[in-house]
Amino acid sequence: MLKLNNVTKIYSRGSEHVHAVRDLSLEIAQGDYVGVVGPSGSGKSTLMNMIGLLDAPTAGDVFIADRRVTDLDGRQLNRLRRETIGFIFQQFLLIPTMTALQNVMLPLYFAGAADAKQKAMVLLRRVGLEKRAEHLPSQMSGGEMQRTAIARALANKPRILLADEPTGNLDSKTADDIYSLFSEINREGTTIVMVTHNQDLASTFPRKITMRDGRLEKNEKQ
Amino acid sequence: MNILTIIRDGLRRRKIRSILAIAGIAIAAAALYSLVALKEGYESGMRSEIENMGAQIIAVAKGCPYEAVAVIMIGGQVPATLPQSVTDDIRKIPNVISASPNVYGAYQYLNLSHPVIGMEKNELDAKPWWKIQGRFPEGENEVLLGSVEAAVFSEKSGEYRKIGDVITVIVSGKKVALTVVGILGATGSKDDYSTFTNLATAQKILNLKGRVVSVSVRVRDIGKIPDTIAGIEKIPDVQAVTVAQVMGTIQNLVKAAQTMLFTVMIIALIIGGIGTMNTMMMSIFERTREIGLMKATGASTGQIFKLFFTEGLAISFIGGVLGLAAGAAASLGGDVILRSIVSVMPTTSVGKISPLAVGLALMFPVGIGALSALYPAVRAARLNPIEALHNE
Repeated sequence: MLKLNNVTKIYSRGSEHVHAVRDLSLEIAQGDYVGVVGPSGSGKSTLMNMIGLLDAPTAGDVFIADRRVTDLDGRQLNRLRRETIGFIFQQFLLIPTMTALQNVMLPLYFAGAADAKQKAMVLLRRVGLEKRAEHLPSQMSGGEMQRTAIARALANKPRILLADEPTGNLDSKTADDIYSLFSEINREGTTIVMVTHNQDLASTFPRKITMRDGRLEKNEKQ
Repeated sequence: MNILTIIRDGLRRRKIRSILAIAGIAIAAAALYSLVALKEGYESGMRSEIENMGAQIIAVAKGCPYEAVAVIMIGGQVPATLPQSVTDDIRKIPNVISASPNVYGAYQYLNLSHPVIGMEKNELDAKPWWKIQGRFPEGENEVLLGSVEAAVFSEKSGEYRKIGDVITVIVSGKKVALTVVGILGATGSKDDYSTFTNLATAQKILNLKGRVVSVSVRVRDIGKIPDTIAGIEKIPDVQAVTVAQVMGTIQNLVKAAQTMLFTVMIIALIIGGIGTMNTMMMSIFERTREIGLMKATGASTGQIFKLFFTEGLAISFIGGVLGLAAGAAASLGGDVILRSIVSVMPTTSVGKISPLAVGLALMFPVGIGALSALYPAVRAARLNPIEALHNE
């Protein structure tokens, strides 16, 4: 599903070169549920950006759905990203001027999908928010906003969900609900890669990856 | 959900920013509309006024000819007069078809000053468009009322109801009884606001016995006007100006005012454009993370551009239409204001709706709005999604 071969990412700031990721190789199979842990600056975000096709490696190869990412142009990357990957962020990043329904419809709109409204309603029902469809983000709780964001991430039926500390802004009770939702989604076959600071939580995931100084320190299956 | 609902909801739910942006464009559109409309209205109004004068040359006493002509056109104290015999001298000049002596003055009635014009009956030949109800005031103290004056008098004076009634007016502090023997049909010119009488009556009540203020001259051959003027100016103490010269001078004055207004308009447009651009830029800075998110959820560069550019167009268009409405209202008000500033104004309102003004007032601000939206929209489309997503 997802393969990184000797991937290196170097950011240059003037004469300073930062090795965000060094010579990293990793394979994630369809249906995996992977927790990514590591101190800040360890390269987690860079790894996620490369998997999410938002950033290209300086060296090495990234394969998503058996396609070599470096071979694709911007338009193809955009399409592959849209069809394969769903993003979930710590700050939810809902569009404040759009209702929950409209937020979920947005990726469908960009994809030019038919029946966007019906599809979005199905997704909102899936995350238990059908009654919030016409609410603006400012009228929802944090948990509801993140559920909306999850529904949005699922809109184009992605095979991989990339979540960057999805519960970082939520209380523990709400966070548990969100994790159960992720587990359900994973059981239905969607690959999940989640960055988290919560070591205990990561230990409960089927697979845990530990990053340090841009390298893969540990790659544990549980 | 389509691009228009996205934009509509976005504008509606970001009220203050939308209102400011729309107002910026609307002000520019309103300024543009009223300026063009006033210019158009003024020019067409003045043109019909010239045509209504009938004469090509006006002879007056030596002095400032424009001052004399201004008095003729708008009323007021006459600076100098000519002996009535000048009229006959002018009639002897070749190329002259007719010479019509006139006396101008004013009387007080209903606590307002009303222009009164003395003329000979044969001047009617030069005014074929005049439709008189009743008859020309040939007898002593008989008058012909302009249509607007007649309407106002019959409504307010109490003593005047119909043709044949007498009104008591005040001229130079003395009461004078005038008999209304005719009403002039609406002409759409200043004649509607004037009172006409025969030359002798006007000379008597205005204390100008044997004198005339001007002689309006019609010629056979317009090409020989310079010779005719030379002939008229051989008469002692007389000078002649063409109506075209007078109008030219007035139009130059108006042009100077227009240049100033045009400058104001350009400034308004620049401010409106910069304002729109600023609003669009701010709106994109504010939404940097949203744009990053849209890109992460599969929006193409083209889709982002389209979204923001269309939003800019929508703002400009709404602003343009609102500005147009405001401009139409303002130019009606502008007519009133201009009348208090510019002494020589056409009788018809200069604030009428003009297709040219409507077109310009929509095209320019919308064009400037579109240009202003272009750069921010390109910028939004080109945002790097990673940087955009991590923007705080």
